[in-house]
Amino acid sequence: MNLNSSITLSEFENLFKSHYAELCAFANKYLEDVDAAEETVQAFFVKFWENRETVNIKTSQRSYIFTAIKNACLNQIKHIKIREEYKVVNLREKEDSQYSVDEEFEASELDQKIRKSIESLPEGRRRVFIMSRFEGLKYKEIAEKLNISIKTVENQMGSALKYLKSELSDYLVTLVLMFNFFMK
Amino acid sequence: MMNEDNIEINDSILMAYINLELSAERLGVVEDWLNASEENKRYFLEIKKTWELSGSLLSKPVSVNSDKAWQNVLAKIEPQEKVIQMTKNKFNTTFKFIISIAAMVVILFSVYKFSAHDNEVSLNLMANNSVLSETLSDGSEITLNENSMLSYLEGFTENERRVSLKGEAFFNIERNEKKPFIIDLPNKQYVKVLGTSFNIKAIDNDSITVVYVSTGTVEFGYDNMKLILVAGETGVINNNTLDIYKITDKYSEIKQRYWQNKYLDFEGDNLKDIVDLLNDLFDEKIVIECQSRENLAISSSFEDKPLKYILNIIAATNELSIKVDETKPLKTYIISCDEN
Repeated sequence: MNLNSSITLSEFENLFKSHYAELCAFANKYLEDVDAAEETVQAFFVKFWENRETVNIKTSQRSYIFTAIKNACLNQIKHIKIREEYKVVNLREKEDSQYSVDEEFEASELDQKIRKSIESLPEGRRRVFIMSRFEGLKYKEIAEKLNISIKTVENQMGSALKYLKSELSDYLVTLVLMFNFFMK
Repeated sequence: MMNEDNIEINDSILMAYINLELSAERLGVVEDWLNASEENKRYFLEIKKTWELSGSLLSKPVSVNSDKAWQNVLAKIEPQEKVIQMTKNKFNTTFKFIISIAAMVVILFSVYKFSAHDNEVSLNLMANNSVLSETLSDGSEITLNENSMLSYLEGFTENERRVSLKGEAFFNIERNEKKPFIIDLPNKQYVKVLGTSFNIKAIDNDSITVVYVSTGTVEFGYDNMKLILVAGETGVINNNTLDIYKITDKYSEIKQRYWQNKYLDFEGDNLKDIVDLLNDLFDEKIVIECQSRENLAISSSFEDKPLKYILNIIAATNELSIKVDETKPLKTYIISCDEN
């Protein structure tokens, strides 16, 4: 009857830790502010825990959480009245996405796999990789920000890539084969 | 993989090559190595594809520390935990659940039985992600908007029907002159009626509380300040300045009730007014490019239709055309003059 009443603190911790990075990325898409995104996600989980005995989730937990975060973000945007200014670079909402909310959160298997691989990089390597790949920073800028040498950045990028390559090997084989085929 | 210049070819240098981070000397070495064999090329291609694949994520990953974040959350929930346990000892708590109307509905419907008052049952009705309708024991109908909560005693008391609301709801109150219906709102504000229908928007942190009356008469106020509102009127309390006043807006009814009835009705309204209204009601944005036709009179009604549909109908019947600009932060519809 009640899906959450039995959730223990350690189950809640698992739920939090396994979704946190992805939800922050998701919230950041709307808010374009990592700190605000983190705050929003944390506030949601605090509320989720407080209401755990009474919230009855009828849909999948995943889409429930994502919908709640999305609403919280939209409310904030509305509230600070920057709706007009906010830039969503990567927000590829489908034509009638408001009528198929579920679909929006159903990340593909590949998307999930890439995300998990990046998340499982050791912290230093992950930070360097995200700055280079997703924030478009040059090695020199990363080195300055993190107070490490350019050589270290280069090495960390190399080992991050090596790791991702092995994690994503299943998907790469097909891509590389196809590429070779067209090159000949 | 060592070449004669003693520059090692490894994943790091290949990665730096992709990122255009190499000096001329090392660049030359990598290019020679690439041209040396098909096998080398294939190896490089795997790196390049991995790099490209990693950039295809729907939402860009951000660098966050889950462990640290968890500590923050833990610090906030621990005190709460104690309160909940104490409550449990005092009261016998049971829960009931209503079946959800829509797929995304998350409803909370909890019943607390207070041991001290056997016959009084306090109910909380909460709509999280969908609109929820409920008929109370006196026959009054209440439609609760998303993220709103209504609390009340099941059988009410002898002299009055009292509920409290956080959020937005439309009320259709069964007339009972002996038992006024009172809605307590945040900031000691209230709405008092005998029997009528009206919409209340009292959302946490909003700067104003708005009451719109559909039928009958409503008393709206706080402390000893109050307004008497009749059908068609809108009352506002500014939560910061505590000003209380009426506003007139020809679209009051639509604006206050659209969330609930999804109904639009235009009778000779001009295009600009309609577009302003739609911009208010929908999350997307509409721009009129064809300014010469801003005063165009439009008559049409829509029930629960997506914005795209509404605009397409208006355009098709008035020689206008609609373009969609998806590059903007908010999906933007542009109304332009029909070229033909």
